[in-house]
Amino acid sequence: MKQLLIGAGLLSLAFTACNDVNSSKGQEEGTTTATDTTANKKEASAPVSLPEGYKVGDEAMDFKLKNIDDKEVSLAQFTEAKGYIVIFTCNHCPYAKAYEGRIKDLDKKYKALGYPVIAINPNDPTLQPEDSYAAMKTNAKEKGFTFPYLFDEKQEVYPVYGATKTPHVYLLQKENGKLIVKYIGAIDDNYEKPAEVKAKYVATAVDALLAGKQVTETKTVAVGCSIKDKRTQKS
Amino acid sequence: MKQAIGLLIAALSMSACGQDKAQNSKEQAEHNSVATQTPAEANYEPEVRVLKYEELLQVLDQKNDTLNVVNFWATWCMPCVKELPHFVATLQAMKDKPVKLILVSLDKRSNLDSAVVPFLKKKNFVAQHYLLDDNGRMNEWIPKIDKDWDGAIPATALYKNGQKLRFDQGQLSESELKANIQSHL
Repeated sequence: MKQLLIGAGLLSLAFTACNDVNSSKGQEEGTTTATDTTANKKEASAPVSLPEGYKVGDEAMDFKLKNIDDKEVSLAQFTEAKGYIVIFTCNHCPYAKAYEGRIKDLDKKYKALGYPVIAINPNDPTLQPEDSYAAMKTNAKEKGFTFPYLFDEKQEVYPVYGATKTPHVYLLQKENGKLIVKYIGAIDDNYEKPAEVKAKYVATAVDALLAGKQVTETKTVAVGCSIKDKRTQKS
Repeated sequence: MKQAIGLLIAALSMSACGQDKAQNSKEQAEHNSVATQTPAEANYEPEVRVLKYEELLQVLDQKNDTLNVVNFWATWCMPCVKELPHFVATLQAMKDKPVKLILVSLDKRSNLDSAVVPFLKKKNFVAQHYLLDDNGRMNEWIPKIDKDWDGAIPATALYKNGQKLRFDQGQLSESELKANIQSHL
């Protein structure tokens, strides 16, 4: 019995693995047959390269994306806002999960001051089923999200911004009717232990903007889960 | 009955998959090893050294003309887990060449014994293993590994004699990995 179970487990593992490979390949290569020699050559070719994305100081675009309440949300709707804390995040990623509470805290504090959090899930749920629209709704409800949690279903927004991982923050400020990127990077310097955080990058940057000062640390990096997109996926 | 159907479907898909890869003997071998691997045979005991960034740099600073393929990964990272089998297989096949696979896990230290070691053992991922326990200083060490790296994993760096020769953010296909190694051997 044990062996049978193990066997079944291994088979299903192999099944999933192959399924993954085939599904992403199918997307990129259309109808190429699996045994065709071109299949291997195609695998070796570079994936579609996405635009480079925004740098600090660039003008960011607005978007219209579906929120978890089925309504479309765009930044322009927030007429009172001075800016936005746009966070590309998702359900499944351990980093995103670790930051959920801190993202809520940012929204709680800075929405009232004119900088609401706008969360966007950029992942393709066919590659990461936990990041489906339905799962977003469940997750937002369970965790009590106080901010819009939008779905970049066509994966058209995150490449323009240049997000590569979750969570990935873009702090925007309204300037003469334009949205200017003021900070790109991590939320703080310790995803694992909130108690040991020494630098709250986003909070410090928003505080600076609120005080009419320049953001001093405009770009930070942290390990994150890569954004799941068939165009950048390799088999 | 339902189970039997499931098994049949799984078996069919696996054979289809086998055919797909038939021309690539290495991948075929990998499939076979996955299929025949049972808990009894997987007796690899991975040793994972926990270190800080400075210690990792020391590890990479070897003046012995060996090409170090350094892959940053984590058990929770799906694309990482997907590319690791062909990293391990490719480096195994080059055993007689001066090239070595160094896997640097970015999992939490608290997940070392509960997730990282069991995963490496189960998958039989033979390599030199480290866990970089430096979460509070990511903003320091990530740009030191590569100035253009924003921290998304997987990422792979090639080092020889303490010098970084190449850095790739994102997944590498088997052919890309081989080409990168060949050009720096």
